[in-house]
Amino acid sequence: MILLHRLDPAADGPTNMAADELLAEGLPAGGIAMRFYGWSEPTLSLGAFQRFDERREVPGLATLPVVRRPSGGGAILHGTDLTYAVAVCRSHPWGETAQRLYDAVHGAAVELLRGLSLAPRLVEAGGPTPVAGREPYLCFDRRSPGDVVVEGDKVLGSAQRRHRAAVVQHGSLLLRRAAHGAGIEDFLGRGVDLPSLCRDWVAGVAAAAGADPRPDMRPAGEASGEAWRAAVGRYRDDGWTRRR
Amino acid sequence: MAALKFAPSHEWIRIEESPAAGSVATIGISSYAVEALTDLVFMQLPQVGRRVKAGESFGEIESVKAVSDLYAPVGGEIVEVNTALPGSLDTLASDPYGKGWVAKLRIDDPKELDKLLDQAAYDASVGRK
Repeated sequence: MILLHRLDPAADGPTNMAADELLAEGLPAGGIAMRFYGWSEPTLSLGAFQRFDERREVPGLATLPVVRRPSGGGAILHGTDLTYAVAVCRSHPWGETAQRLYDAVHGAAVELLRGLSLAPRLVEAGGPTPVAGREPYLCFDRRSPGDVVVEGDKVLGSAQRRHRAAVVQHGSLLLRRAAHGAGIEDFLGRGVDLPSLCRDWVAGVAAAAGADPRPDMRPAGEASGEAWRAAVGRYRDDGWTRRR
Repeated sequence: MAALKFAPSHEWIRIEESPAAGSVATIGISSYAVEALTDLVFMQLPQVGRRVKAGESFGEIESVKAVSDLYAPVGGEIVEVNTALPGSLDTLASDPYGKGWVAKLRIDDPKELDKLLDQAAYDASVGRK
């Protein structure tokens, strides 16, 4: 089994969402693909069913570029985070339930942060059941089982889109303080080397999967032709962004 | 009560009479899928009158961790939706094959039902006896 991985250049919201959506394309059977990326400008990403206009009720969000994710969960203010996406086939053991992939990637992140001398913990199950429409608007103000917390601040949250053939999970590791709380560089008191961080995170995920990590040499986007253009167009479409 | 049939994507379908083109079938989500999703928070129902093909997404459901598509087990026209469901998503877990129904579909081609799994085959496919 192989784990293809890459660190992509920063891009805008629609480009990033399209790249996530197509991450599973051409993936070898049983394989895993993981990409890391940044954002070319501060951007607000909304969960698939969050209300577009509700962002105006949170200070500082109203004027930001907005992209709507295919996944659920709360809104994320990107720009001081490292974002990742991981894709597995539905037939992969990690594709069976939402929690398995979540636990695998977040478990590797916990080990990664421990290696940086932080003291992360996973939010345990058994908390209050979320009530639809009454959750905080921002992802990092929410807590669900498997979220990664350092000193009480959530630093990593993720969400999935489960397609017929593949599961794509993406998430945000907070590097520096944003609207919600401190990031890992705030706790460390120094910057982190992103390529090293990504490489070590991949190594942890690959070890958990029993997979062989290999650089992803597949050309992102352009090679996918029509599918790529359609996906980018969909995420640029106001009808999608303002669907709710 | 008529027997259920299942799609590999975990939707069930029930038709109450000898299926023919134009027969109305009820569709929903299997208990296995509902348990796997956990903590449901939102559901997007299809529009009544919408036509769908077999295997086409006709709705979406969000749990705390994931958004999943709902796929039509067979093709046809949506003639009714369970409008009470999005406001009481617990029903999907408490009564997945009864009050937790999602939509009713006027089927185009009853032969498409032959491609679906019966209860025993579906249970085996998800590791349940």
